[in-house]
Amino acid sequence: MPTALAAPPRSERVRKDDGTALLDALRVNDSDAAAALFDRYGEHVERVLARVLGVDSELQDLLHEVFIRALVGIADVRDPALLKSWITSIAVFTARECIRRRSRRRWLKFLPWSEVPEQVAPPFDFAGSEVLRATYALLDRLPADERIAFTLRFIDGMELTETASACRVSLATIKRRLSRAEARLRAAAQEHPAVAEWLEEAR
Amino acid sequence: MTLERLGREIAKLQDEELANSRRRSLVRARLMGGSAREATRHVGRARDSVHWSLALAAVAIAALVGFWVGRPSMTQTPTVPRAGAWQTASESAPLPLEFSDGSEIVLAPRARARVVERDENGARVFLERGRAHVAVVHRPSTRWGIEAGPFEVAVTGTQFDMQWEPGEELLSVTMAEGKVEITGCGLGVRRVTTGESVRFACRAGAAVEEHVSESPVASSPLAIASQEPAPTTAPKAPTPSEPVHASTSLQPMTSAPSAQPSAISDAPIATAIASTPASPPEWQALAAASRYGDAFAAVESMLDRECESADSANLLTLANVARLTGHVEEAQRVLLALRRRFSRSPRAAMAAFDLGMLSADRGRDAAGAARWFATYLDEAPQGPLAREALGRLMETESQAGHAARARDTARQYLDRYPTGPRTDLAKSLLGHE
Repeated sequence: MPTALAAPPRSERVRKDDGTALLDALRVNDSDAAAALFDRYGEHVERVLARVLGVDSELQDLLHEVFIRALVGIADVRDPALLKSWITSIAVFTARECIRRRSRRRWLKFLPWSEVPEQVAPPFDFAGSEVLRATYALLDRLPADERIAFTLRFIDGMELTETASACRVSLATIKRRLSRAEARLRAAAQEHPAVAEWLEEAR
Repeated sequence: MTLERLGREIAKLQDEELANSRRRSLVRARLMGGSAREATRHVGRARDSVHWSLALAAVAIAALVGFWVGRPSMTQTPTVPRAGAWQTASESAPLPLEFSDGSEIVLAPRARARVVERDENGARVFLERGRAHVAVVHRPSTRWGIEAGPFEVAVTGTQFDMQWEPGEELLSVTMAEGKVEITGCGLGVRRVTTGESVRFACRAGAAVEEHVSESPVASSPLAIASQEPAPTTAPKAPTPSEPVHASTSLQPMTSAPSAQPSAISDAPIATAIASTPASPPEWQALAAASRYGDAFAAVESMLDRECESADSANLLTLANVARLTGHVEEAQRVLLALRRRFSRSPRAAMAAFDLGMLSADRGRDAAGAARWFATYLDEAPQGPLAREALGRLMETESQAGHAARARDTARQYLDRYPTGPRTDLAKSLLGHE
């Protein structure tokens, strides 16, 4: 005679569901819900922040900040299917504030073809890290909204509609921002051979 | 396609870094260690009480904003101002006002302003009192106006500081970059350009200009953020030197101190960074602002002197300025000076790479370029541009007709950088498909 399977623990239900149980649990301050939210979207949020800002020392604090904001504002989410895009937007706007904050604190800055430390750097994939460093040096020169659009679309590989949704703007607006960002980046890339090389057409 | 290619490379490099980090586990522990409970507990209390739910939520959110911002902040949260709404900076922190075109006005502590109207070309802002740092993004159709009392400052794409004290009817403007036109109070049109500081008093419908010495170029919102609010003192009697309209002579200020708590500071609004002992040469500031044409013009007459006196970092910058403005021979001169004065240094190797780029540009001298790229690889085999140098060496050797050498270099390139951006060229040189 078949026996009824024991119901999985509540935390297990929260982790495995399509978002409805998670959202319900978050709204009633379920102790496992915050962990479940982070486990589900932590990697994604970290990646979005890294795409927009680069991987740096503030990333940890910003990642924490995004989830605190999400937990506080969870009542705003009506449709569990939109949970991921909603938290992506929080990450994007948190990154945007960070960009604005940094630009206010940045002193005069000029970027020659290279910025070489006086010491010889340790042997690792310098070529790889140079294109990374140079790309974000160029991105630092874009207006925040154009930078965000560019990094989400071309580095994170989001579709246009997904990018527009993350930035909470229309498709037309995101296309305009991408167009301007691309033009600026291509013009500035000539100062950075590590980047220019990638933008040259394959021969 | 090339942008996608760059993007994929960046993403791949980042994913490697992210995978090797403990960052997520640390944040998770932090969230589970109390910060998440703190956040949700406040929200939960608000929901439990019908009568106090709104009030508690407001308090909770205000506390949480303070909690999660956490670290000391020098400014209030940036605001996107609505037309018509007054914006007032707090007693101790500046208030940034951000606009969708990237322009920004930072109100100093206790300053107050209102956006009167906005359209696609700009905005009209009324500065009721205090100091503001204004940074307007220039576009062909940019039109901004900042009103202060009877004066208006017309802006087309500039950075400057301004201060208006209604009690004394004194307007001060210090230009960091670009130019503005000041009108009002019978002034006519007064143009103010980079580096100038001006001060106008409006007396009985006539503007009286006071002389202020030129201020340092560097001006940033941080200058406002880092300054203490001006002390409450009686203003000094201004000394007019160039009255615009002499019909009414200026009387010494003997009236009671202004009801406003702040007074016009005697110091220029835009102050240099305290730790900088001397202003950098003008060309460096212009280069830092990406104004390469102006930068080269500023340094051209003293290029030889800079070649013999500037440090290696500035020499690289100077060479870049010359290159970007089409002054190839000057760029080469600077780079050769760098290599001579800082021989065997990492920047000397960079100069070799840059010399290779100059020679390779537009096919000027492929053989010479190849020699410079080889020099870079010899001096900095693990340098940050090693992959680029090897790729360009391969290309220029091929262009110079050194087919055998180009094929050897192509093999090295494919061996070391199998997914590099020039693999297609390497394969074609080796006859691969």
